Amino acid sequence: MIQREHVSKPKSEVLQGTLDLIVLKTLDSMGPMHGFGIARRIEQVSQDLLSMNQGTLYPALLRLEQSGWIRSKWGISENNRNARFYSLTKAGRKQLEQESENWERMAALIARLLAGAGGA
Amino acid sequence: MIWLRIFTARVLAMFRKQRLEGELDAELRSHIEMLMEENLQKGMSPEEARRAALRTFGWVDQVKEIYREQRGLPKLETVFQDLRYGLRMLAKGPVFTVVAVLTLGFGIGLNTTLFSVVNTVALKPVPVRDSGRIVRLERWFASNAHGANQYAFSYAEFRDFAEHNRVFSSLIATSFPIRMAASLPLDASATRATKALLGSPENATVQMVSENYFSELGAAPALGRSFRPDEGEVVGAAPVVVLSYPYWQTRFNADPLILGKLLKINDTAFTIIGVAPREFVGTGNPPVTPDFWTPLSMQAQVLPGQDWLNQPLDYEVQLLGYLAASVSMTQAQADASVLEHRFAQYHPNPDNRTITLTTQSVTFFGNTEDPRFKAIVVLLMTIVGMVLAIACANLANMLLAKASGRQREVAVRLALGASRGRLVRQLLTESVLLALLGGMAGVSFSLWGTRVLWLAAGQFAGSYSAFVTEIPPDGRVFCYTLLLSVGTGVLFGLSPALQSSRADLTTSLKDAGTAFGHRLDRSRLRGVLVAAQIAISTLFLIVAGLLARGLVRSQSVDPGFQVRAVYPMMLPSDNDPAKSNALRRQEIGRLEALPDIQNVALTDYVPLGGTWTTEVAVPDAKAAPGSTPTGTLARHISPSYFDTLGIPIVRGRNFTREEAQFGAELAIVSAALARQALPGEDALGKKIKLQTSRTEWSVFEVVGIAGDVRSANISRLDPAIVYLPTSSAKLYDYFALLRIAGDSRRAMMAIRSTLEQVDGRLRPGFLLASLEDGAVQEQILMARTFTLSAMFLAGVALALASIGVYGVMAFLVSQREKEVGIHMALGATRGNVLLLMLSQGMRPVVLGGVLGIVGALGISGLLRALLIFPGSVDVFYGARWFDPVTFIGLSCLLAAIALVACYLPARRATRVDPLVALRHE
Repeated sequence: MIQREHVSKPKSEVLQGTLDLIVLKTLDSMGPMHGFGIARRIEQVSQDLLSMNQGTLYPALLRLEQSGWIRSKWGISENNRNARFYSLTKAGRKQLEQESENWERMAALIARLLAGAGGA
Repeated sequence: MIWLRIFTARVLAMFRKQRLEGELDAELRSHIEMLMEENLQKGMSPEEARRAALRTFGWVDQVKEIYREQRGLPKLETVFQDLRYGLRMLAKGPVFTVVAVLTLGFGIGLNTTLFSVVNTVALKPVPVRDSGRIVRLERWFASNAHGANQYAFSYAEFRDFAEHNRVFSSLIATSFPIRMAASLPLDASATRATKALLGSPENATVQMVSENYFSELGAAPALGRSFRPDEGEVVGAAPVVVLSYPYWQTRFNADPLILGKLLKINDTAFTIIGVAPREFVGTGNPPVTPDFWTPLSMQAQVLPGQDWLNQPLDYEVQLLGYLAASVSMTQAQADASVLEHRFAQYHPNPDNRTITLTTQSVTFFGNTEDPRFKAIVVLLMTIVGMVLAIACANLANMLLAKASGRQREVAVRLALGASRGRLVRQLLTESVLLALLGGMAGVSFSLWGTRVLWLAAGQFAGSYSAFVTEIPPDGRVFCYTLLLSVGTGVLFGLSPALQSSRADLTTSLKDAGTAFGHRLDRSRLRGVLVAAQIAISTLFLIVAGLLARGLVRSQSVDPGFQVRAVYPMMLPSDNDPAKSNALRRQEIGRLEALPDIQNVALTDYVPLGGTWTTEVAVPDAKAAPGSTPTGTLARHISPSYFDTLGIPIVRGRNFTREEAQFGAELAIVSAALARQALPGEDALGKKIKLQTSRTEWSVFEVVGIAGDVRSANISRLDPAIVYLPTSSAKLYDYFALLRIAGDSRRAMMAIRSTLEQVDGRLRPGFLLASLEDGAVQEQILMARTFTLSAMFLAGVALALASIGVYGVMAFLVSQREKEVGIHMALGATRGNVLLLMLSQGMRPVVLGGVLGIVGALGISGLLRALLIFPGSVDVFYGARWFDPVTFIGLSCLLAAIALVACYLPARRATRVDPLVALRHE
């Protein structure tokens, strides 16, 4: 087996479910965006710490749309291209609030656990 | 509810697949173009920019695939794909499809017919108001006694439960149906004023019910009214009846003026106040729709000498209750059991204590836990299941043959990377599709089949059971048929699908069609299927043959006594036993004096119309215990019985008139019983013990030996019968047997006027039927129906099996053309080739035939063994159970048919031109 050396900082895999939260948050803070824009924005925010093929975004977008949390509309992009713009729905905003709370609670819990383990 | 929204979105997406696919393409393309543009701005060359963009994006096709799986319902889509493909395949071979659908439709139809009858009678609740909420109470005895008595309660229990329970919104009591004699009003023009115009007493079935019966069951009368609440209050004060619809139709020709007319039960005149609605069949258990209903308050008039209403331990009525709102069965059972325990504190029943009460849904059949009922249902289901199995075997064979033709197609698919599971699924879809089509055909067959079956059964069950045909099949029947079809499809489709998908790629691809490598395997399975078919049809055929032999014998059977000139007549009972006895004695005396009447005899069971089977023991017999019969038939007779029926007394003497006055403890036994119970001894003067009631045994002295006759049923000589003298104190319990000499019509008129003179009732419609026209005809008709159905099933089985043999042989021949060509090129004659083919084709036939013969021997041996019960019917009418002519003859017939089915295709093999066959290679 070939081991790849990481010269730069190690990248994290995107956890199942996390991507949904990230996309919802992105749309919440940036307003309607197309797929490329969302991918670009995630890269900027994560400062390339997330390893993700941009294509992976599309099944996630579809899932969110099927759940009724985002909706999409075809429009013209800033550089005059046909693009599909996604925006957050009311249900999506509620879902985002709920998920962020969950996430924070979980993160706090894990942090406490780890701190506790370190102290022992 | 998120999953529901996602599911809806996915289902919708399936219908907009093309548009969504286009949008996906456009969206991804625009994303990649944006990436490229960015890269170009960074100064990359167009080619470099494109490659970098694709790297960032990931594998486009994979993304699309994941996307598609998320968008639609891929599993379902393949099912649709398979269905479409399957339909195309079926449409491509219309002859195969039609034959397969008809074969299956027949098998499934037969099964559905039987099931829908069982469903209507034993699974579905009776058609009354809110039938899902009504339950029948069942009691469980400490003695563990089972049977109809578990449904019997006392009237006092009914009143107590009705008042104190908190689980039933209402409680209904009904008696069991009672067979009795009633005098009916005569004609349409008779009005209330002419009360005297009553017909002679005739048999009718009456059911006594609590006065809330019709109103609670929601049975609004078709004519007139039903019982009023006050008609249950005062004992004996409501002489009213409601007729059942079919009785009104058949007995009174739907007389619109029937209301207000009188009918007479015993000495009480009842007014007809209404006719039950057409769809109302009563509440069953036993499955009988009575001819009319009367309030329970009239019990003393309907059944004189009994006192149901005041005997708290006289278990005579069934209880039905409507569960109150939001009460479950379990709660109802618990509450009812508590009530029963409380009731038992006031009225203990030490001999027959009840432990608990349960409730069950009110089916027409009632006691579906009865092992005899279960056995019959299982037996019938097995028989029709076997016919379906034969049909399945045929289809499996046809599919195997078809699969060989598709060997190449399957191999190509496998080579292109289709998984075996996927292929099996597709092949199975085809066979299940076929089976579903067969199921649809089956349902249409069964709609018609139920009617035919019930018309046949109606000959015995009475025309009143016709309601079964009027109730359309419900969801349960459709579910049953659906499951049966899918099961059938999988059953006959699985092994061909598994076998053909196990193709060896190299051999199949190399050479079209012949696939020598698998031939052995598949022909073995085919052989097993054919052997099974032949075994089942041999079994059916031989059993039907034995029954047919019995039928032939039944046509010429001689009961051994006079049936043509003997007319049974019921002696109706009255309220007052003493008064009725006096009337009967007067009647008998007057009848005996009539010139056309040669003899009058009395008996408690009319010959060929019923018997009494009981335990017997001979205390001073010298024969080893265990070798003598323990069961015997018995009947009470007056001394004139033997003369009336022409039964000889071979030894000893008859009873005297005096002995028959008080029921002396004497017996006349049949020659067969004397021979078996006292071999080598003189039976005269010996004592025999008979069980005369559930707990009592009595000793009788044998004074005579009578000749053997067929008096229990005409299928065989009575294996053992004891005649006991009648007692004149119970004349109303007996039937009269009138032996008429000379013109029967003149005799009828004389009898009628005699009876009218004795009791003053007019009987204008008086008519009696002789034993021959009644019981003998009925039993022969029963034998005929029984045999014809068996022959029908055997014929169907045989036809299906010969098609199976033919199909397999035809396939075998087409497969081995090349081999035959080689044989012939090497000098084999046509005769050699024919022999080779036939021997291979007939091998499973012979194997199956032998199995079938063994099975048939088993069944006829079992039927033979059942004859140890003295009252049971010998369906073979004395034909030997291993009758060699039937066994050998029918096996030969079957072999001959199979041989023809083999020969036709085998002959084709001999016409193979070796040059053509070999060039083909």
